[in-house]
Amino acid sequence: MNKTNPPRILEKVLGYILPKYVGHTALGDFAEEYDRVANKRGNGPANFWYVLQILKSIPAFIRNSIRWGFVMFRNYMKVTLRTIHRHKCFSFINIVGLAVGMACVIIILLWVQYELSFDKHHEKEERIFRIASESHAYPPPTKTVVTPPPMASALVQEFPEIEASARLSRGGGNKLFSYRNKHFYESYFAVDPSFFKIFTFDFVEGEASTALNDPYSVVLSEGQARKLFGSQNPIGQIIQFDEKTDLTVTGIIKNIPSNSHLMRDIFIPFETWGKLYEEPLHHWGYWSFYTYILTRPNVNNEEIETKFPVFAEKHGIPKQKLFLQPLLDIHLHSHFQGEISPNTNVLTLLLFGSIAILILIIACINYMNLTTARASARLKEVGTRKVVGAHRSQIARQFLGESFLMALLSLIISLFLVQMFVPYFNSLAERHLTFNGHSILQIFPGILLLILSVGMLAGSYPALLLSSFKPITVFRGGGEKGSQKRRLRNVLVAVQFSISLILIISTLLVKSQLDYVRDKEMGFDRDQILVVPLHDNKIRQNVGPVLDELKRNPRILYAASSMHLPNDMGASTTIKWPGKPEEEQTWVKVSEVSYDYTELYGIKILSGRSFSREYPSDENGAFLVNESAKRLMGEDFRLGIGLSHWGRPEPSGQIVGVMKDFHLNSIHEEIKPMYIYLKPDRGQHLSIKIKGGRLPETIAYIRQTMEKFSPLYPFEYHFFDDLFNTAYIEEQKMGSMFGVFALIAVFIACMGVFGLSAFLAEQKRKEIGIRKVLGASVSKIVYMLTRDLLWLVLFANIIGWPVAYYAMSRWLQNFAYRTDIHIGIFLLSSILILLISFVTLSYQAIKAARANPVDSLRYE
Amino acid sequence: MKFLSRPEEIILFTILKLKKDAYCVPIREKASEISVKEWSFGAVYVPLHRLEKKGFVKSCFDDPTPIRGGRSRRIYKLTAAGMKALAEVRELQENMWAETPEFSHE
Repeated sequence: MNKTNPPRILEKVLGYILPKYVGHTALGDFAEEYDRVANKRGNGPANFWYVLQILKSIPAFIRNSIRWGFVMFRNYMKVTLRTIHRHKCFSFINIVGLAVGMACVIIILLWVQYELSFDKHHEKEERIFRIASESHAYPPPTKTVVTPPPMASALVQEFPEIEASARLSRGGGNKLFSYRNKHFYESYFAVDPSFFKIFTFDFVEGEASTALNDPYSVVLSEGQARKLFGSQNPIGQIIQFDEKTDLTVTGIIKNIPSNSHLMRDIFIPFETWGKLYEEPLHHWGYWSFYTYILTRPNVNNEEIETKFPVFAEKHGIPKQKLFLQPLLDIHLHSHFQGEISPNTNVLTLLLFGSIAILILIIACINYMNLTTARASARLKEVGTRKVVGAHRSQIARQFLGESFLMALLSLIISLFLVQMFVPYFNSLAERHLTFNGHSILQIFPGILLLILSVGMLAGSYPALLLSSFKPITVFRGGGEKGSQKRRLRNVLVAVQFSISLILIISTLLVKSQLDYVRDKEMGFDRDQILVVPLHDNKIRQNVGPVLDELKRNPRILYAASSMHLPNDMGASTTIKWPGKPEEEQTWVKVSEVSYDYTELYGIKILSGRSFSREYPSDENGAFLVNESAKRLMGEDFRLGIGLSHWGRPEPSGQIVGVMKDFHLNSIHEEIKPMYIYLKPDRGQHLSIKIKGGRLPETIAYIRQTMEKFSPLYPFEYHFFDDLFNTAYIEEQKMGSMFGVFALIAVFIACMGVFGLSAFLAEQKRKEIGIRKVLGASVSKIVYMLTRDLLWLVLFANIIGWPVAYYAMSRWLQNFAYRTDIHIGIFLLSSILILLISFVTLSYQAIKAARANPVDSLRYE
Repeated sequence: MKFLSRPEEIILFTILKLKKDAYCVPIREKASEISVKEWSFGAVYVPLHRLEKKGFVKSCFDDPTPIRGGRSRRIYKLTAAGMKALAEVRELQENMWAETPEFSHE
């Protein structure tokens, strides 16, 4: 007789769902019966019969597992809650640590969510691109997002793939808008009418397709309209723009959400704006505007890009390598010259994401250490469970479940924490995060992953360890075989402190770089200088009398007007000089200034002279170049040679002097060739150098003067120092956020050590008692208790230092000019962390050491 | 006296009849034969388990055989209590049938 056995896989399945009490002999029974059926009716029916048996046993299986699952679950819950209740201090440390860690992660998640949501509200977002270019005019190549004004229409004409294009201009910053008696400065965009067809803005009033068709129309945001007109119907109202022209309101859009790289409340027609300011809108060398395009559906943008070189050649800009930036990439991946609004660096997000995760890891380590350290307290429970028949896997599951419960509790608390701290984060990072049901839903997968990973990370090691105890050793009263366990615990503590140390070192280094920037010799003065933006064209074009009037006050040392301030040299142009090869285009930075500019800012003149009223010829055109520009010209350079710029064939004046190099933009960038040109009537700013003291009076005088010359324009002034610092706001924000996160990390790590030391002191109560009875001093005992953990903290330095060094030297690469990485910072951080951990540890140690030995040694 | 359920009663009876080789497969066959209806394995395991808990049967494992995929058989034996229970059932039955007037099934 042949013997046939049922298929392995079926046996496995059946074996799994059969109740445990019938055991594996039942499988034997089934195998035997299977063999009988197979012999009688063949393999097919036998298999069928076997599967039927499986199906029949499923309902009972489910019933049983749910019932017993529930019974055991209730028991586990009870035990868990009792444990939490009994060990309030440890539970507090665990839950608070995890909650704070989770709150950090959730806030970062919200932040990432927010940054990723930029510009997504435009319906055609996938087809919208911005034109950017890489300039190879002079090395190194620089990327910029500004384009010349005629490009937009040329693109639509020459590329069938492009459906529409729109130009955008920031229009020289804030301008004066007036409605009846209300006068105010406001930033705005000048855009082509097609702008509202490409981008999706919600029109509350008016039509997107026709809103800016009229050359003297204006589109306002709802908020702006309410501010101006109150409850009146805004459509058809007339506002005055910069004392030049009247504009009729033709459209009202919903306020633009903060997660948009285009944020303004006023939109005026581009062409009109160009006419008002006599801008050379046909000029291909005028790189100041933003060009957005909408491609036709199903067009490959790479195809368009391959045609760009020909396009650039045709329009005489062969040194500009044009490319397309997808709209959604702009906020996170574009950090080029001329960005409209400061964009976020993906690296920053990654950095803070990893910091949050590190904090969470520290909290998880607390949980692991405190749970395993107290393992002895749960030994009897584990032993009992095992004796009454619990599997190792069941015990492991119980402890995993416990950690999940802890994670869940912490999550609930962390949500409250997030609710509390989102406004704080918003002010710290200058973001507009919201935390409500909707945003929770959006990051829900993240939260789920968070709780799963925390539960697993924190719970798996205790679960494995606790479930491994043998009941017999537990009940015989044998201790733990702990050396290995203790070693792992030590490693984990060392990891915690290394992380904290790295964060502290980084914080201090960021701060030292910021200080370095603040105190670095920039090449120009920053103190005692007031800046008054010039909004009024009348003053701009005839600034002399204003300057004279200002200088009449003895407290005002200098007054000068200029296109740019020394910390933000904006414009670029091509220049030519005698001896320069004709075909090469050389781009340099340029600014137009009045007399006294170099004196006011303390810019040093190395050779030649500054602009001077004593040389009337200066009025006809005079240049001051910096050292870099001198180097650029090389052997052609001589004082007195003529320079031509802005694409003009004839020289516009002669070089009268050489300035010492000063930093043109932020300290991130190298100093580039630049020159300043004497032309007082194009100034955007008045700079005023004042004497120290009696500041309010001086400002009052400046206010009077300004109001006398342009009564309509509200007076506005800044300290140059503040303006200078705005370039480093991103870093300052990052620095302070870094500091906060580092503080949190150290705090959680210390809580863990605090708990651990409390546990150790408790464990060694008897030993301490005996030692004291035998005459040990308090300090000896404190030393005994803190020694091990302090060694660990010292050991953490060995891991922490190189990591911090590596990370921070990478970060500093971002700056063209950077501070040295001082050993002092490392030492300081180490001492700091040793001190903090010693204070934390000694609290418990001293408490234990001062306890009366009678209490610890007495037997009840 | 503990009452037995009908399946328990039948199973106990089959074990008695099978004497030595009383494990699940033959018990199932015999039970199906006696009661003229197909018994599933589940219908055997549950009462067997219960009987064992009540102490009417005891079990032991014998050597594994290849036909069972290398698994041993669980052989059941009646305990003294089990014998007593069966005797009580029989007595009960006989008591019930005694002094019963003419009885026809149809």
